[in-house]
Amino acid sequence: MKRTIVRREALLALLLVATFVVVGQQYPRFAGFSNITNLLWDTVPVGIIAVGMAIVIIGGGIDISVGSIFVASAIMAGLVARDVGNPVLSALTGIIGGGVLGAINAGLITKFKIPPIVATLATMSLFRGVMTELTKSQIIDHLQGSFMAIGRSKSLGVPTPVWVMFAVFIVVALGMHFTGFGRVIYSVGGNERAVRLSGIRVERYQALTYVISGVLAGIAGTLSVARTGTVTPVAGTGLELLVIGAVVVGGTSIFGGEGTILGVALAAVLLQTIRSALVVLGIDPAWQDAIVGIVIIVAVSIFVIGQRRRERMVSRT
Amino acid sequence: MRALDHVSVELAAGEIHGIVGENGAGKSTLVEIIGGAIRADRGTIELGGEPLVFSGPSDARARGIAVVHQEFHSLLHLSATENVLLGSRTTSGVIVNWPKAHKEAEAVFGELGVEVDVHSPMRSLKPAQRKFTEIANALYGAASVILLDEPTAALDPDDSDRLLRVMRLLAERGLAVAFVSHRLEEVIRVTDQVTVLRDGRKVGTWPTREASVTTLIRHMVGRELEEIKPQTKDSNAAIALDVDGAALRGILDDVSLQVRAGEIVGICGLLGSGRSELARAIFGALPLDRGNVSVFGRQLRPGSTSHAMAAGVAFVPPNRKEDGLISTMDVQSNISLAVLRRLKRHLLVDRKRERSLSRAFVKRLRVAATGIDQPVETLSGGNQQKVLIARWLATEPRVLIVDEPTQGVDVGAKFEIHQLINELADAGMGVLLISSDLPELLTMSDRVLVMRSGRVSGEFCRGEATQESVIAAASGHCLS
Repeated sequence: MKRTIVRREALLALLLVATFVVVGQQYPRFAGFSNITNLLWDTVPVGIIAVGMAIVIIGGGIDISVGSIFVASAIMAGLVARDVGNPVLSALTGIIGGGVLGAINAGLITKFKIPPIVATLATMSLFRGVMTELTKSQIIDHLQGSFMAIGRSKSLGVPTPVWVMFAVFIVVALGMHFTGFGRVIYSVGGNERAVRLSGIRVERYQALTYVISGVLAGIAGTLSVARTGTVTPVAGTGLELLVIGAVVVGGTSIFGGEGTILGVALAAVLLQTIRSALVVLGIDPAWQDAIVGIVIIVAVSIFVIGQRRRERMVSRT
Repeated sequence: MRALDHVSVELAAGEIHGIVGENGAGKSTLVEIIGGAIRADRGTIELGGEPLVFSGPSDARARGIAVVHQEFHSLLHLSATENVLLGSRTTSGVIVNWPKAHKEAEAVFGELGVEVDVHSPMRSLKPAQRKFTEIANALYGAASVILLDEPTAALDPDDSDRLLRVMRLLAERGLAVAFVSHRLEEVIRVTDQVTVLRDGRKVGTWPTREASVTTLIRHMVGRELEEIKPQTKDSNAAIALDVDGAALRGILDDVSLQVRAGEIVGICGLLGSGRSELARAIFGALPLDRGNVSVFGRQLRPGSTSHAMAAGVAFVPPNRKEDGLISTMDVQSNISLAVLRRLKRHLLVDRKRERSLSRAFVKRLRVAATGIDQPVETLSGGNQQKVLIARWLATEPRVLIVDEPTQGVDVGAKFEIHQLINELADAGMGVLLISSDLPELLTMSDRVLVMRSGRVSGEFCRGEATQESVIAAASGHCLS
């Protein structure tokens, strides 16, 4: 098992490098430092949210509402940044707000036992609807400069949001690998009943995954509004699909129990790189979506075929 | 390595042929080859003297060779009738004549001498009835050879009996029947010939009347297994587990029992007797409506598995695949799961302690694995069961509840698990053993409790219990 995962991440990294080498030969600036940082900057929302989604999916659930939590957090943080102006307070509002919305998902799923896909489908509409009403469909802009600095400042030439994304990757990867929490999440995704019968309170851990997913969507929303300076209630529509795409291309089993944060992080960057390369190569925008779809199909097929082969080996006993 | 090496078997019409061997001996591979699912690298299959080559299972089926697999392959949402008629031509034109179809299905069940409601969907049928439906399907499809892979593994004693009678009936109708099973007593009882496989090779074929369980085991394992000798137990030992008036609406009705330290108490009962629910209720996985459970005098909080664990109760659940193992993870993570909380230092899992704990149990229970990081799903059934038991022994329990500890486990591992349970009891653990394997229950238990319809309907001490008396108490009528 371990070997196939390492191989998969090596493959993703190889594809990433290959994209830069191939496109960089025609357009040298594509592989330059400033383009790569911009590319990573654009990866931030999907990258951060994908990590949260990966935790949820590894634990056997799914969170369709991340796009709505993303925009709700951006609006909450934006409103505070416009009307109050304190950057720390704005950021905290966005992040904690995301966590609260995640907690609502957690409650619906673990207390009322609503299937995750149904519960988060409902809250996806609910959260966005409330935000549309709250803002009267208006654009929020004219944010305070001190808040905008969070999204636009750089250190060592790399934008702050990219540093935040890297930090999220590392903290979550280590957390999933080394903590008891991570171990339980993998186990629950592998066999929930078995974990419950081992005396572990499964619901607590499941609830926590949705809260974490909410917090991470909140961080992404906050960073996004701090970068662009504006947000409307229709922002982040369809974001959940890009995010789930990155999670499965990263090698996470959609049935739970398997996957690595490193793979998901690489996949998020890879998908953004491919999109960006298609733009540079001047490919029709209509084709760009189609090509990303093909990448997802190919990646997941490889995963499923690997799985089948393993199962065949198992059944041969 | 070869899964099968130069194995020849002859199935005679009108005979039941037992095929036995440990897990990995090649029984299932043999069945798959005869059934057309796998093509042999070498060798031939002849039916009535005519050599055959199959392109797949449906091809074999068309030539009259039917396989009833260990796991159910029927379509659970369809009715019994549809499953009986599956694969045969049932339509004249486009329209199905349902009354006729039901009548035909009923006729097949009638021939088998079993009762199955042909209208009800498969999912609502009992495991035995599902097996009968699959057999009826083979019969309806005019099979002349039928291979049954572990057909009684999931059945309780009463239904196993019924199935064995059906097999006899099939043979009397002139079919060639192959019976692959771990249950050697049943093989001895019902077969005419028996073939033993070991490590992919044929050890031999004997007329069953010349064989016994002991000789079969010797051939399967390739060595002699010593008898387990019962020890006399201290009747003044402390009461380890005390269940008083346990009730669960519609399932358990005022069940009381006691297990002393060092004692092995067996529980026997048909499916639906409440035996498995009782185990879950004691462990707190099912909250009781009424009644108390105490462990060494300490009363357990109802419906709390963590409280039961803290009091020293361990529960090895019956279906290791569904309720036990995390198939996506390795041996070590499966062993440490129930003690993760103890292995944590701050938030982190102490990997060093986890590894040494897992290694110790792999060694103690003699789990055949390439290492503690081997994926648990690649282990054989017996070794998977040992991993599951190890998970619970790691909690250092004082009361051990095991439900079907040796189902689908080969003879060698079964023997080792029995030995282990005996050792644990000798060291002072109170053991509650639930099993539908009657010989196992009778040899292992100091006392056997029989459950029927949620009540304890009989109690036997070691030596008093016989298969007949236990089955009679479990089914509520005397067998003549």
